Amino acid sequence: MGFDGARLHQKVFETRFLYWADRLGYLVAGEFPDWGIDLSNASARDALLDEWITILRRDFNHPSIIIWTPFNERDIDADNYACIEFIRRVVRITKVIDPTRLVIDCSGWTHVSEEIDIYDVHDYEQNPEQFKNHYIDLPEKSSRPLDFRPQTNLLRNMPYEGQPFIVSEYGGIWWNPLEAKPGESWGYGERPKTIEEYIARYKALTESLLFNRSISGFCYTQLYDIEQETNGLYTFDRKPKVDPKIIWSINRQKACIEEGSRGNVN
Amino acid sequence: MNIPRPEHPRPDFERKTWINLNGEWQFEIDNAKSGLEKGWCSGKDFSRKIIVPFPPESTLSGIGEKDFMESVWYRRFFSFPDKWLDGRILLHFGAVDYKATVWVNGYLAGVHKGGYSPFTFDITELVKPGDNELVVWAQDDCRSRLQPTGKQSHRLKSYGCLYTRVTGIWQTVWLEATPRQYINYFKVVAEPSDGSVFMELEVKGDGGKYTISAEIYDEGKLVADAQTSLLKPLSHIHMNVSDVHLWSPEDPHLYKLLLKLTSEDGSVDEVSSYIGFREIRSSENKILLNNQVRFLRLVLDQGYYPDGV
Repeated sequence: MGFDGARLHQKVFETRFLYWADRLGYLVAGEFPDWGIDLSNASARDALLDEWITILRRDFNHPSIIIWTPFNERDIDADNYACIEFIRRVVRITKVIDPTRLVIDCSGWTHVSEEIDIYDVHDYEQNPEQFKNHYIDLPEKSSRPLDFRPQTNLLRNMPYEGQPFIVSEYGGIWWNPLEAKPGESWGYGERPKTIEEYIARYKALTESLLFNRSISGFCYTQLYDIEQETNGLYTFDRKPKVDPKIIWSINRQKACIEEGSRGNVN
Repeated sequence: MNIPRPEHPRPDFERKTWINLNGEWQFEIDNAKSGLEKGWCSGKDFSRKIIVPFPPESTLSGIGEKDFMESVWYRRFFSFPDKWLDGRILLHFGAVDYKATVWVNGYLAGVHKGGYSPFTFDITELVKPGDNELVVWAQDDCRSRLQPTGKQSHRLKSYGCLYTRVTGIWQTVWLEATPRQYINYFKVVAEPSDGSVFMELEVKGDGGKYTISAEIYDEGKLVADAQTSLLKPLSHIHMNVSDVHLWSPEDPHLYKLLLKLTSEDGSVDEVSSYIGFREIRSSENKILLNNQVRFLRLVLDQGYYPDGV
């Protein structure tokens, strides 16, 4: 479908998956499955760090891995300094063990480490115009946090310092024309009525990232349905829900940051 | 019976002398969490069968139970060629969710915490020729908030963006034979700009003085080699590949890497792996792969499968 790789999300994949990524030329953003851990608990923090170090050691040699992300979407109380300090420490340790890759602290939110190499957001806005407007004036630097979560009392992202900017979760378009029991599944936003509407939404959302000269990449949610979450490009048993060639031709258009002119890249 | 997932689990660190322990094991769910007190760590036949390495929640495992299982037990027998006893015998687990306690012939081989990370126990002193008993106790309290669980549901059923849990063994289990002194681990950086290859190697065991050699092959042809005899906790090797062929998604070129440790006692340990030359970095607001501006076209993959979880 024209993707160059994947965020391997909230799971440490088997070494053989990475072997095939190395063989086939599939870029990988590796992530720790940090969900489920209460970071205000000291022994939980120890368990996370011990295991993350083992993973970094296991996977250091794979050329396919280009990004490390120890955390995902953390809601942090503004005064939870133990948690904030811990995330910063894990980023620092990650960079000491592996200075050869790019590091993100918490994918999507909440960015607290000044040492991150990529600034990313998650944005499930389904209206292509509004989605595009979020990024139209992306500044080189910003004293305000770039944060597309609804208003919240939780800690916001730290200010954007002009790092590469990627939207590492978007879309998640709900599409399940073959659903056995209607009503039991879900996806983001309103379900498109036709496959044409689904494709048009995919195209408009994706192009607003490709054709923005301040954006360095995207990660579409998601490759295949999982159980009740039916927002994949493939079904759970890996059948394409949309003609792969159509997605390919959308994804392979040249991004503005790659040159500035439109056209296909191979 | 056929062994599921028969392939070598670590093509990036592969020895020829290994035995896959996937397949049918005895299995018991220990809801009362009293198995240890009942002496299940040795000599106890468990009542059910499971196909390792599939978690008990999966249909491929032959169990298919999706309720919480905070304590489960596995048991099987294994044997190996007698000549393996001349060296070390390592027992490897790809991953066991969450805390694994392992006994061999009733002796504790080791304990490991972490449901996503691999671990290895040296069981040389615990084994004997012929049949050996292997028991694994996995404890997995997904609701404790003290262990990483990723997208595993904390409720009875899957909901929202959380899905079926994984308990116990979920990756390949295997035995490996090495000489008494062997290469335990290595780290490699392959630098695209000038073809430099920097390696850091750890040696384990006791075999006296040794020499480590490294060879890099491109399509079967030797393109670089080097060796070191310095006895240090970490050995370093530097090599240089000329006219380096870079790794990229468009052309994922890999070189074969062969490591050989020759010890004073005459034994030789051989490990095969591979390397790819690529550099990733950022410059201002751009991501550069091998010095080319790269827009990342990624897709979210959570690694769930209908029949294997």
